[in-house]
Amino acid sequence: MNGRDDARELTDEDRELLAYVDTLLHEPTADAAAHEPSSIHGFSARLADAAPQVDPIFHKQLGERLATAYIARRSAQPRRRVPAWFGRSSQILIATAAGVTVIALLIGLIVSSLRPAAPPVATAPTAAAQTAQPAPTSVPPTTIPATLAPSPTAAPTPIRPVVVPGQPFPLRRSELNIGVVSHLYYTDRERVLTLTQSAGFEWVRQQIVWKDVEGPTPGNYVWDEVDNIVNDVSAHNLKLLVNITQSPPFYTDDGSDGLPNDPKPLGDFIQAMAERYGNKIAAYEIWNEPNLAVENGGRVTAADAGRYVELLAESYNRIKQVSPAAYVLAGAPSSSGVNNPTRAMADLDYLRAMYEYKDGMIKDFFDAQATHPGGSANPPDTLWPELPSSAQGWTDDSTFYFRHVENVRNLMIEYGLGERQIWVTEFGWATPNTTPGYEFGNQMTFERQAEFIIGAINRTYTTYQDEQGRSWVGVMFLWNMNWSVLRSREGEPEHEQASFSILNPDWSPRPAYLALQGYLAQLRQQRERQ
Amino acid sequence: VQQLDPEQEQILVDQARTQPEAFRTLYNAYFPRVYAYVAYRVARVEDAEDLVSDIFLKSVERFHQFESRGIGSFAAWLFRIAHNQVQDFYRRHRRLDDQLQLEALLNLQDSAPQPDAVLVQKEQFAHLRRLISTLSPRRQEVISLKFFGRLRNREIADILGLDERAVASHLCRALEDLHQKYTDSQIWESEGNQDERTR
Repeated sequence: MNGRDDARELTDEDRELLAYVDTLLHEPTADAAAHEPSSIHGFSARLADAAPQVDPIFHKQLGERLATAYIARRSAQPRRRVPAWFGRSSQILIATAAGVTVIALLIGLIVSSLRPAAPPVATAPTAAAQTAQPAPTSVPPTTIPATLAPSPTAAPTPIRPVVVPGQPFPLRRSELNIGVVSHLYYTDRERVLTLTQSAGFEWVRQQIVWKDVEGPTPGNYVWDEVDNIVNDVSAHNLKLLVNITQSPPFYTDDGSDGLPNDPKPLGDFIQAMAERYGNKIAAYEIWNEPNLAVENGGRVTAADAGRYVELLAESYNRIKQVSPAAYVLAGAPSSSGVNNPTRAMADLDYLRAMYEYKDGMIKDFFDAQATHPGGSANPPDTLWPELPSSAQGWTDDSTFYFRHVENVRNLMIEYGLGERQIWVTEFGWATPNTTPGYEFGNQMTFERQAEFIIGAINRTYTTYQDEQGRSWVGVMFLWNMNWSVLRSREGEPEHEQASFSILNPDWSPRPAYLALQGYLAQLRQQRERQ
Repeated sequence: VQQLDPEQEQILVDQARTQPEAFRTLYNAYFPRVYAYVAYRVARVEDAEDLVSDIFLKSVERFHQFESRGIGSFAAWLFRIAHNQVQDFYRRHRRLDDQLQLEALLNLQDSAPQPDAVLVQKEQFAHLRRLISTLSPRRQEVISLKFFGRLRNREIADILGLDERAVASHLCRALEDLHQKYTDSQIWESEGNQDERTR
């Protein structure tokens, strides 16, 4: 089974039925059931009435728990949200007044939680509550240049986002762009970039390993090959996304290459990079898959997600001070359902921890969220559990599917981050290989790989739009262009990384390369016509 | 289930940011819808109650992050949390067959004698749930969000990442399919006949 679940065209009878159901559910009248379309007479009205039994004690107790949660939430808010132009004593008075008001209201809430809901009345808020909660929005905008962020253990002054007058926030791509992850270090870069252009890609993602640039002593940057990469990508009129990862050992407690203890050295490094390359770097992705223990110094917990947010905030401010038009991406967690501190933290749990850290401070410090949806051997229109793939293995968790990106989008909306786009900074399908753990690729062929890649882009292009018809994916980067060439040179032509490539070890195109060349040309033409 | 007037709901949503009374009204209005949606998606009452608690507690915690986009956006936001929680539940349990453990539903709250009407309602719920569980997962989701969550097609489309036409189409097909299964099962038909006789 391929898991297809196609919709059909609507008939007039269908429309009549849909209109009836909406009336039944939203504007019921006494004789609604009498007008039910004959095709399903009597059934939908019965369905609408078939509610499960509810325990009234559960309803009441939950109401009480919510009241407690509401007051805890409220009592935490006034101190944060009173604008800076209020004096400190005013804040205390207002917070106290608001607290008293809330407690009084909550007594009523708990006592009346078993009564039927009162009809909603647009009563005016009390003066105290109104004053204590001036606006539902977050930190007031500021044009004050950001100062360097303190380390998490230093003074508790919160870091404030750089706001550049006239610059929209968050930055969004107006239409879906397609890029590729290429390896540009010490290779025939001209050939890679020419092939990248020829395929029709607009973006290149290149990882920059921080520890390879800074050292052997702190503050000593050796840009070396990075200069050549940035200049060559720019010369080919391609946009560059740099993915910065792996700390020099002198910035971590244990000498690992995980997240640095202090955000400042990372900020210094990124600022130096932005100053050196200016607008030749179009976007920065901060860290790679930080929910993996191996990318985080050997161990990962929810507290690390908070540390990550501090690093992101520092990076954001440093970049925007120098290159306000550059995109700053929150790093993509690895698509994983595993929760084991020595291996990984499930990506959605990690994202939750990021989004909840310090009451959602992250919202001011990134333009887009990067993701790395899985693929295994699953077609791009399938998703666990609603539309599972029939592949052998790696099917029973949503993280094995390209469409897991939809779960990330849902989570972002849940946290009020729906305005930010997702950038899919790695996606792709393995083909036969000999690396343990990647056996799913052995079910694939190069032709299927091509079909799935085009299917994923087409799905994103045609359906991943918000209610205003805007793409909620900014850029998607195929993993990968040329690892087959590199791995082959190293004597590992059947390594899993090589199996994802769209080039053969001898640089000849695989079917996916040719399919992309055709599809991306069509996409371009379609855009030009619009 | 009494639903709020959409415009009054908008006012309440704004008020609920500062007024617990407004939040209480929203809670009371949405509780039966969220509970019914969750109860149709998971089998055990304990799981349903845990999930419903988590959904509403998260809604309180994140209410300040809710971005209102006009009428209907609160329902879509709340049910997106509900959908995410149910998806998380299945991710953690990794067993779709949890959905089929229906026995627990027949012993819902306690074993005390209950009025006939309550027992009939429970049986109907379990029967209907059994029929719904034979649909494809996507159609189960569409039916549950529509009839138990009482969402509009546009809101369902947003939550499931479908276009509105696809939601409408799934809904029609699912209803026809369920109606056929229901007719075949004859269970409610016979209750209807009994009603006729006693009238």
